Amino acid sequence: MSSNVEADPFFQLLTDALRAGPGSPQWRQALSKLRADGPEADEYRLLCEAREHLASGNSFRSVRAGPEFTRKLFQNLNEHAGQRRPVSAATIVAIGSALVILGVLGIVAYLLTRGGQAGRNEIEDLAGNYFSANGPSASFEGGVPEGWRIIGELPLDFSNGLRAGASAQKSRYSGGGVVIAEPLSAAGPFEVQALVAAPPGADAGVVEVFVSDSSDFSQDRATSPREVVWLLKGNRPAVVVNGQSQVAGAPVEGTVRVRIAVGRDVAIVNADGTGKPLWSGVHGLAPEQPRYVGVRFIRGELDKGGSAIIQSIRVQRKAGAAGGAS
Amino acid sequence: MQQRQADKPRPPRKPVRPPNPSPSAEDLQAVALGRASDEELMRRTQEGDRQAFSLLYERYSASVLSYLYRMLGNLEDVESIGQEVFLRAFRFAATYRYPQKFSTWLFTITRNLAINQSRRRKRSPIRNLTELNLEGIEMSGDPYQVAARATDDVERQEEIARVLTALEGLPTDQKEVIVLGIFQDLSYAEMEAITGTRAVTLRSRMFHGLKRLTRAVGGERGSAASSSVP
Repeated sequence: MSSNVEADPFFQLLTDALRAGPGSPQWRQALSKLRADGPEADEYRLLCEAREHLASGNSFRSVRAGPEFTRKLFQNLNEHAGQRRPVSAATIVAIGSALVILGVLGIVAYLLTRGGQAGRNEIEDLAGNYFSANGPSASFEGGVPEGWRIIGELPLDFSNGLRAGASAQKSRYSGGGVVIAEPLSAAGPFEVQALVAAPPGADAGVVEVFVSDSSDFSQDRATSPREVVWLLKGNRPAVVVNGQSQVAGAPVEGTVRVRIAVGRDVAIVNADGTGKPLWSGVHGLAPEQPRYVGVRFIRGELDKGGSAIIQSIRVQRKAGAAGGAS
Repeated sequence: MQQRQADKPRPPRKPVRPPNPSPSAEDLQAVALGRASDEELMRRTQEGDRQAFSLLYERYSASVLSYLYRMLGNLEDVESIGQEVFLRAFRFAATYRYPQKFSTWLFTITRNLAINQSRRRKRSPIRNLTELNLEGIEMSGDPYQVAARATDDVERQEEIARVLTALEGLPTDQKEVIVLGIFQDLSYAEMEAITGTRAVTLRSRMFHGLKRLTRAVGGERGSAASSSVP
């Protein structure tokens, strides 16, 4: 039976008649149509015959509920009505879990909202500072400057600026740099200013300017657990906070003045001289830990060319602020 | 299910409370329970009226049990699923939404439970009939007894019994539409609501199902005729 036939009004009439059965108006109507159609409708007449047999046998498999069936059912209904459904352990666990998740989400949302607002206010405050008091500085003319110490295992070249030396390691990355010997207090804001020269071809490895809250620098790469880092890899600058890359800047050429302003909880990184921050946000450094400012190079075994050059680095504070760690 | 329904689109489901004019609780109290519609009885059941539910059970128990027997063919399943149908109807009465037809709602539950059961297991041996809490089994389970009760014409009895026996061999979807539409007297629109299958498909299944029954009877007729030829 094609879909065309199914859309046929006679098919509608016939199937209505077959459902409604002998004696119904549809049945009479369908039979008179079949009579009018003559022998061509024999197939349909046989259908009607089968339908008549079903009508005659409509008590086939007709059963009724016995008294015991009914008694049993209403006994079960009484039991159901008399007891509340016990709450399953799985349901309790599911409800508890849902409440905990909702609670955690609520707290996180609150902290994000509050933290975000507080962070924005702090960044605005930090950006409004004028850092005019000189702090530790180094210009790297011939050796390790006074007030700074070497970290890491990568050899350094102090002639005419600070460069990375050739790595003695053959199979992994190694790092080395200098960091201030006396840490800075975290109580007051300060700004790190570094001049980094990136002449064409001097793009081997990575050069970094960083602020850390720990003096525990690793021997191999000269890194510490929590840091705010401006780095230059090839000619592409980026900002990394606590190991997470935050933003990548446009390619740089020539000398870059890097400025990292650090407050108690937030920091602002500028590196393009436009005054527009490359990145600003919560730095994640421990608020009570003193700050360590430094520069370093990281090279892999395949980095054979010359590195960028750190010409100078200095720390500037607000006028009247204390110099060392509290 | 005493009245046949025209095939017309079912109105969208609405909240439990009917639109105006709606009988209030006082109006319902005034209606004698025995004369109340299925839907009114169901509303009373939703309010905790056990007597109303008893009446619905009286009206539909035979219909539900017979449907299960015709579809499942296993009397043990008929008894256990029959119990479950009415238990669920009572426990989940709150899910019924007026003005949906109560019979449609009840047969949706019945059909779903029957499908689940038939998936769980195929036929199992039938217990001793005296252990079962159902009535009418002996006289209605055998097609030849049913046919003998329908007519004194022996030839016609044979044809009726053949059709009923052939019903067993139909594909489930065709058998279902014949059981629901012919034995349970549900309209195509009601069957559509219960099965979730389009009415045009149900009509086609009805047509092809009856055609198969016709062939089954015609074939046996033919073979009986040819075997009688010397």
